[in-house]
Amino acid sequence: MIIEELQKKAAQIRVDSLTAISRAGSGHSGSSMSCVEILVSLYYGKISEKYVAKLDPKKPQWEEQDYIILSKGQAVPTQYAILADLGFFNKDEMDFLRKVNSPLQGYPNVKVPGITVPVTSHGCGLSIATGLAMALKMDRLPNKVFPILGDGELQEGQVWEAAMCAAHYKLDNLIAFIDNNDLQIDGPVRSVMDVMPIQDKFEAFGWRVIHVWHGHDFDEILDALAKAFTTNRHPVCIWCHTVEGKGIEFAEGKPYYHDVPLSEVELAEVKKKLDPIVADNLKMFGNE
Amino acid sequence: MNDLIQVGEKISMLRALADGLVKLARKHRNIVVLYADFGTKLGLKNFCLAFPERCFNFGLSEENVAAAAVGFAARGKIPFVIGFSNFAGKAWEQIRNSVCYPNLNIKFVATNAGISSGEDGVGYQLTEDIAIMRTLPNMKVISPVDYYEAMSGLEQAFYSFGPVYMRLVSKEIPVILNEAYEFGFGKAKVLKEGIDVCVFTHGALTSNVLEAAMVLEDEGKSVMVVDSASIKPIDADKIIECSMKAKKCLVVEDNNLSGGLFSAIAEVLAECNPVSLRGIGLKDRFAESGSMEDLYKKYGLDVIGLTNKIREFIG
Repeated sequence: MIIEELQKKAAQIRVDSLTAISRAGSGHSGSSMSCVEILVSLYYGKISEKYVAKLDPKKPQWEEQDYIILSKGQAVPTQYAILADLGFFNKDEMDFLRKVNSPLQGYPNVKVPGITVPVTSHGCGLSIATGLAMALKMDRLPNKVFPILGDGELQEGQVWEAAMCAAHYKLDNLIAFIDNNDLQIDGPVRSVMDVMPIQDKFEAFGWRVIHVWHGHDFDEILDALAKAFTTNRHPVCIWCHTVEGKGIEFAEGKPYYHDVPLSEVELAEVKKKLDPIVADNLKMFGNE
Repeated sequence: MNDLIQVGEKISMLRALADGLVKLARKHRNIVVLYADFGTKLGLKNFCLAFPERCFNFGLSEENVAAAAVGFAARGKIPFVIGFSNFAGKAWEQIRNSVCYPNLNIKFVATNAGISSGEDGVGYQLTEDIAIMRTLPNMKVISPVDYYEAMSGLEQAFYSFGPVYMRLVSKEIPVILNEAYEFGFGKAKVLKEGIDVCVFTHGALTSNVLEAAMVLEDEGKSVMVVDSASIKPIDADKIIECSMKAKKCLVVEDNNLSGGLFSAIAEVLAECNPVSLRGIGLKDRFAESGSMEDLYKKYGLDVIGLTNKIREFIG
């Protein structure tokens, strides 16, 4: 998919996930927006005519699939919106996000087709991804594992246990994204508990770090992924600078919008801006 | 080798773990063993020598190993996560959220259970493990009484889908059952019949309870002893049946009574047959460093202490 199409797809995913969060009456609007381009690159992006991640909506338990693990699980409406768009499940389900009797739980739930591992609290995603990458290496399989971590999540000690382990076992099938939007519930990450320097930390742990200055630029993200694919014997960290609330003009970089839904008026304003791009969007094909 | 182990012989359950894992892994290629250091102390040497490609040491990172098991399970592996019992406390959040909630097929084996771990002291005597594991939906909890129950329990844990928490005693304790014994989830076993009092027990203390029952038998008191190794699911029918046969009921365990087998049995009896029930074990307190024998003596869990307490309870 060419860059322009990816941008349109990102707009559509923004509208779908924000609508679902608003309808649910709770959820993390700002936090869900900062990782849209990372997720869209993974699910729809192509490098040298080949999809970044190998997936099949008709076979959610496919043995040959790659694994996209949203460790910053609060942003899962974005992942649900993508899975629904790809046809893993019916789009109507999005109306029941975070509601009783719906499989679309507040954090990634394995009962949802396309969600392969449970991510129910901060800090566990990288460990799960590490275990998955080790199991794949053990069977000498080429599948890749892509965990996406928040920057606030790096405050969890478990992340560094997993980082040490991934480097020790030379898991070059593990490519972790850091969604560095610099915001968490209590405010800027650097003032709550500074996680910097991210690059030095991961490198000291034995990882290769690829820096993406513009975490909403598809060219940069795909370029970083292409570099990651050529790495041997080291896990890779793609450190992306992102903007919390990206795409919602009035919410960009504002801590207030981190974990609240948009009001109807606010949502209408976002839609007014994004809907023309979405309408222009080409009908997407399923990945693979 | 195994048929040489006789009733009464003192042997560690770690040998059952070592023998059982190798036996299972020979038949099933999807078994992997994950552990957070202490491999040599956990009796994993045999497994790691036989199947080096299926043995993963995570170093001292209990939270990481519990969550990494989820990744292995996602690829159809059946991970046995093995550690000292205190890892259950450290990794409880990961076990609850990432293993029990999605009901994944992961087995946790904790050694050095209860105060039997002895000399290392309170930090390594997780006397609340049954309480914190029993409360998790989907989790099954076993506390075998000897080598043969540990062996059979390990096999049943493998064949029963879903998370299992198995607590083993690493100290050498007498063998009570025989090779033909088959452990079953939700099945309690009457080890000795009696009518004056029914004693429910599990783990390392069972042989002491049996000995105390024999002493009391000589005094003309009839004590029933029930092996309640399957703490969850619990054998409610058998508990009710035994509580009807005996006049009073007693629970003996070497961990905190609150939340332990005592609570599990109290829950059953309170609902179905409220009889006189008492617990012997740690009552809302921590233990201390000391040998298993000395600790049992101090807390009244040795044969003499148990005999006196049971005698007093019968009245």
